[in-house]
Amino acid sequence: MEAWHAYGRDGRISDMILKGTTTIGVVCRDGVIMATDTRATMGYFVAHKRAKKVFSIDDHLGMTIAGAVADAQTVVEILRANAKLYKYEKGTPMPTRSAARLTANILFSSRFYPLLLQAIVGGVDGEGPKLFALDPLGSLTEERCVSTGSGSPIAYGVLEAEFKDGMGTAEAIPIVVKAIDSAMKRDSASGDSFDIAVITKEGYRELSEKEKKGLLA
Amino acid sequence: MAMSMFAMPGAYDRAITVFSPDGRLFQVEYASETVKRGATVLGIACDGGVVLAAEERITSKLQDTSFMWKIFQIDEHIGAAVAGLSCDAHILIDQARLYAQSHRLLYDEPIEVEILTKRIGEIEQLYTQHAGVRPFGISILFGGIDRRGSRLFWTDPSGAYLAYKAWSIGSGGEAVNELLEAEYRKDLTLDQAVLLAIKCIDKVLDGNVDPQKIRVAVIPSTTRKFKRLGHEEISDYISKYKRAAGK
Repeated sequence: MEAWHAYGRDGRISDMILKGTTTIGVVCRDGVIMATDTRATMGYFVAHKRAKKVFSIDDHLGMTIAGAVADAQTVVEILRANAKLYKYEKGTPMPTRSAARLTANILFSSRFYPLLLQAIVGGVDGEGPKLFALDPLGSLTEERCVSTGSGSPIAYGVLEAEFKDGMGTAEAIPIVVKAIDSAMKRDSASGDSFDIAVITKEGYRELSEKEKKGLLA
Repeated sequence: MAMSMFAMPGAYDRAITVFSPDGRLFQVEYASETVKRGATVLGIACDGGVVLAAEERITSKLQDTSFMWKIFQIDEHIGAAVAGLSCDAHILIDQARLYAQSHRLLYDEPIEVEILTKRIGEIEQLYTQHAGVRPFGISILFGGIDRRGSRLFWTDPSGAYLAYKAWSIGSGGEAVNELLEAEYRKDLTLDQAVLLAIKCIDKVLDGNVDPQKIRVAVIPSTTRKFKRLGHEEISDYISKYKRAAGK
């Protein structure tokens, strides 16, 4: 991974940090939806227009990231390896709760020199669809509807008005898209395009460009 | 036990770090004997993919047969079948799994079957050249699909490893290898390879193969993903095999 550098407003070189971002996670009746914008900024410079901020951890698990890209990518890779090892040893896929706990433990173990990562871990397991939000120090909270990053106040505006607990993914996807779209319009640190992943008992799936275009219309 | 074919054990088998006058490491050879007592496993690598099959030796009616102890998944694209001391097997299987993930973390690619086998062979070799430890009493067949195609590797207590097109280890190994030598072809489809594997286990079981007594896993060259065959799938294959064999 190359080092991305640019001069921030204060004249100092800043590294690739996704504080400027919008991520969303919602729990639906039949699954979880996780969406992010794809702009990576360094100060006012748009460092990357199609940055990946939502990842599959396993067939049934996903994670959105915000914060330092290097820290986030490392944690994603470690989580992926551990999800596999768990599956092979225990014979069942890693529960969402356990994946979230593992992530929290990794973050807390760097408590005094923190990993700059704010994550949403979501998935579908034996207990149904679940979502967890984590902060850089390793706090873990279970959520029904959550947004992180500089665009989150705007996203919450849409979600609070329109998202209802108990909705199905089909109903909720357009609402999530609306929320991300609004955030991208009014938060300069979010924009360019968005990624949206849906996890149901069928597995993890990211919407194609065609589907996303259709939703924005 | 064919002890007569060995030189008189005497002083040369008490410590593994000692060679006998005729250049043998007796403890390592004795460990191979343990493998020969294990339940039979076999692997077949062909164009259709890789098949791993095991004889399920049930020692008691009280045993929960859903517990896996012969065939293990190592990574998405690799499986392993073991013969010998199952306690030793778990250690090396766990280590293989860790190596496979660590390779992914280091190089962002799936580990090649040969490299994985080499790493495990290195561990086994270490335990033959160290004070106070004993060799691992197992042989492992690693089967998987990597950039070189369908691959099957065998490793033994000394840490040596070899590539095979098809191979069998354990108590029925010799008999099965005769059959494999006669009937193996590189261009077998996955289905044909599974049926051949069933034929081999049937031979070991003296013609009494049934779904309870055999375990099969495949890595098809189409999907490149390890998959255990379920009870129904195995029953179907066994019926197919029996029909073809005129039973």
